[in-house]
Amino acid sequence: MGDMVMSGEDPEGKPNALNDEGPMVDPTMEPLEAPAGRSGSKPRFHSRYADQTPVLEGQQPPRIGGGPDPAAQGPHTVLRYDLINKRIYKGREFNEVGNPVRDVDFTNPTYPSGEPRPGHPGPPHQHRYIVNDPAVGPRSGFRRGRAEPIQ
Amino acid sequence: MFGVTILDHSDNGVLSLDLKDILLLLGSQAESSEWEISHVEALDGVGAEELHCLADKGARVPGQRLIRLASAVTQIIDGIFRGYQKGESEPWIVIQAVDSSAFDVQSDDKGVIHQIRQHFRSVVCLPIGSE
Repeated sequence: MGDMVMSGEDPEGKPNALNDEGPMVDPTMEPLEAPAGRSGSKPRFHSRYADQTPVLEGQQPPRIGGGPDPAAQGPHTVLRYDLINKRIYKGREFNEVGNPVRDVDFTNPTYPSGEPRPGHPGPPHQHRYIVNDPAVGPRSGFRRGRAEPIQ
Repeated sequence: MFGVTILDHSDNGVLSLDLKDILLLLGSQAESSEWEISHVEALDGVGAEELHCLADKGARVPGQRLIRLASAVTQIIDGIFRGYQKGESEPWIVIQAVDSSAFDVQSDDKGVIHQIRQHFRSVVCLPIGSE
């Protein structure tokens, strides 16, 4: 794809450096080990890179905001950079008119315990953007699809 | 707490539910709770920017406001929504949007978990230790 634009700052500090149903009480239902509150002392895991480096809950890099980069011409990718682990966390690709095409995620989500969640190929994996209403087209907006192998 | 993951998808591969659907299912329990919002990434809609601001502040919001915001976004990709009964310091429910692929719901209330299992098609238990 075309240009790449960094979301947030790069490690050098340069902003945007690169352009069953059951009964009412289910007897099979077992309680989780501890309350899912915010007062637990154990770290909560959010996701892991391919080399198993974890991203803890709350340490996700700043979200990609505002859609395509206004300075970009043509198809381009906006990168979400992980300043803690010093690597690219996600890339969002936009087409020539600025509509989102897909996200490429360089981490897979985990359970808070750090165990991998099923159903995610990779990492990396991709999420395609699907137009909300094909009869209306891109004006109807987009939703992000499920995780798929990179194509 | 007890927990489940909701995985309902449409034929086009998009998750067929969003936060608003879970909140509407909870009904008055959602409305009467205060909600703490964190680590949210939402797509489009007038509610997305407001949700992002609230998440960044870690603010608690009334249930009716969260329902309004959740109804005013196209999709919530990621985020944690902790529901508190008024005056309580521990949440009675935690809803987590996971990578636009699933929603986890954890609650002390087995009735709520049962309601979710009845309402959605593809619901699996969270593994023990997923606190």
